[in-house]
Amino acid sequence: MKVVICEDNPQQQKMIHDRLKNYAMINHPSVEIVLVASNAEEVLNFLEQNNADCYFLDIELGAGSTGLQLASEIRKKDPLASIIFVTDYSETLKLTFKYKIAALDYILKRTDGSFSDRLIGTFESSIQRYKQLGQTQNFDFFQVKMGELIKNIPYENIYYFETSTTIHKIILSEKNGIYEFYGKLKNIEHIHPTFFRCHKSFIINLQHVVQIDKKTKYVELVNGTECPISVRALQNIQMKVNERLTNT
Amino acid sequence: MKLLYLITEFVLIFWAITFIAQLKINHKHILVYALAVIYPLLIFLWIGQWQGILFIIISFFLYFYWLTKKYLTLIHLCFVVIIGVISDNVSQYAMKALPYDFLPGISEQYCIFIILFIISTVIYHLVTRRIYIVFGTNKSPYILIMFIAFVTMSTFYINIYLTEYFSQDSLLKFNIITQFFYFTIMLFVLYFTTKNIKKENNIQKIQFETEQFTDYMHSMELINNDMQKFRHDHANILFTMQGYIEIDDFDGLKKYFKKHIFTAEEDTLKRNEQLANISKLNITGIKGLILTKTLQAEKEGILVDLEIADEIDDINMNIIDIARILGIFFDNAIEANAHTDAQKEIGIAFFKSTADSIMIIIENTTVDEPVNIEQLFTERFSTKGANRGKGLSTVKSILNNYPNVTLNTNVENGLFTQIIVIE
Repeated sequence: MKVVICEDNPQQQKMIHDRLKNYAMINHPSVEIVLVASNAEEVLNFLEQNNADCYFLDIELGAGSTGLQLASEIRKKDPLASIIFVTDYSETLKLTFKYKIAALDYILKRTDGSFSDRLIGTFESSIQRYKQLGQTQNFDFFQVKMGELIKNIPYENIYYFETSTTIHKIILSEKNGIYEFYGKLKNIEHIHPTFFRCHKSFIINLQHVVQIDKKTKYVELVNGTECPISVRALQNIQMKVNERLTNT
Repeated sequence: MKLLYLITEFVLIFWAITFIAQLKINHKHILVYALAVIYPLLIFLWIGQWQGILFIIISFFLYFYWLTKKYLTLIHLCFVVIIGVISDNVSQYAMKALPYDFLPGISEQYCIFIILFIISTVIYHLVTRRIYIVFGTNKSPYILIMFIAFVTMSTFYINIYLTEYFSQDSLLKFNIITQFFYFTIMLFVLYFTTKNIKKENNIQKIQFETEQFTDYMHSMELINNDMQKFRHDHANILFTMQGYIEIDDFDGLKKYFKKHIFTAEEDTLKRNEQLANISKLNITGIKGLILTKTLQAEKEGILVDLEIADEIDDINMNIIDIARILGIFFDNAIEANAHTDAQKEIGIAFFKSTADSIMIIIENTTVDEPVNIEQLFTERFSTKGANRGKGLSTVKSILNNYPNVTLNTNVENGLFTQIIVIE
């Protein structure tokens, strides 16, 4: 894993650099600090030829671009890199960090030991994250992008997908939320056998079926939603539900 | 007999116009009227009906324009003639329906006609009296109304008198011409109406922005008052500090400094930061709303974090719509924290995403048990009982008009988050 540090205050720069370097040397020898910069320009120049996987960025960079703008540029180039903000005082942009940059974390600069602990803690989690990225695992997640933040929604939490009244939008309803994104049901239908296209505009999760009413042609889900069933789907929905029950 | 009827009609029309336009009449006017209508009357009797009608209408227009020099009178004239035609038709129909015959000829029909005509004229006068005042000196509505009234009047007449002179073939031609003509008028009217609606929408928007701006100014005043108070406190603080210094009580000073000055300064600094932040949001309509709601939330003891990372100049949505949505979200966020002593926080962020769409995020702490999110969006549902959750269904119905906007709602770990993405 390659690490970049960008901090304009020389003392703090040195302190962060030392802490990370020592920690990496002892615990993760493969981690390498490839650049220690004091402004955004340096980082961007470096990235034209090289790449990195983890960035520690100061928000207040003095002259030139701020750390936030720099992070935005980095994100455009690399959607997966870990970005960690280091900031002077309470002016935290919590939501902006999370959704605009999908920052891994942000650390408030404090004079006591808490800063150092947080630094190492975050460093460690970025290393763990890097390792995970390396292993291409096929999780049963559905990914929804909100800004830069990618939300992994376990299939088992999903109730249903529905086409929105506005064209090309799909609504996804799950245990913890409702999300909208652009797409087509056709491309979701077959991602997992637990999903069943019960209607032109509905894909339901068979796991969550509570009741099928063949008369009114509606299927009721655990959360109380009633989805319509098409005539064609009516023939095999019961079978699909049973199949699903025996499989799990 | 026929002559008598005709004269009655002319007298009625003259009365109607003078009544509606509230004209003062002298002998000269009546004399000219009598002369002006006599020769068309002769034409009417000797040459033929439709030529007569044509001349009557022309002479009516000329005469009344001469009398008042106002377009409005001509509009009245058109309407009076229309009323006349309708009354005539209705009275004819009424005659057929009522078989009584106690007066010679068709005199009953004329009685009904006169009564109907007078009643309709009075009603027309009462209804339109206030309407025409509204137009003021604006010319275009007069022209539009006169145009429509005139065309309608002509069509009525043509309908009554001319159709019987036409052969089947020319009737068809005539129909085509009227249809085409009417269609053109419809387009014309449609154009005017949409133009007016557009204007009205614009006015509504400006009105809304002015309201919001007033709110904004009001909030600013409140904040300014706060600052004044702080300055006043400042003087007191300095005095107290001086007291500590004079008696060399440094421990006391230390404590005092930490307790009073540090916290007070931090609050003020934070507020200043937020105010500096809001200047990046260049949409007046929302600015006022956010500031007002922020103050409202702070009054309830809720910590509000406002993040505006980028300059936001334009949002690809109707400002009134987005303000309504944000207002609802803000109210819900405040309400979710109403009945708790736990940590209360609302975070709101505006920024441009890397894909250059605008994102608005509202996140708030909530004490509610994990709720069924789906039900929140259905009408009248709220975890706080009836009537309160109405907002979210409104949000949904507003957003149904925007294919470029997506809404994500999430409840996790005691945080309720609404994420709006506007492309």
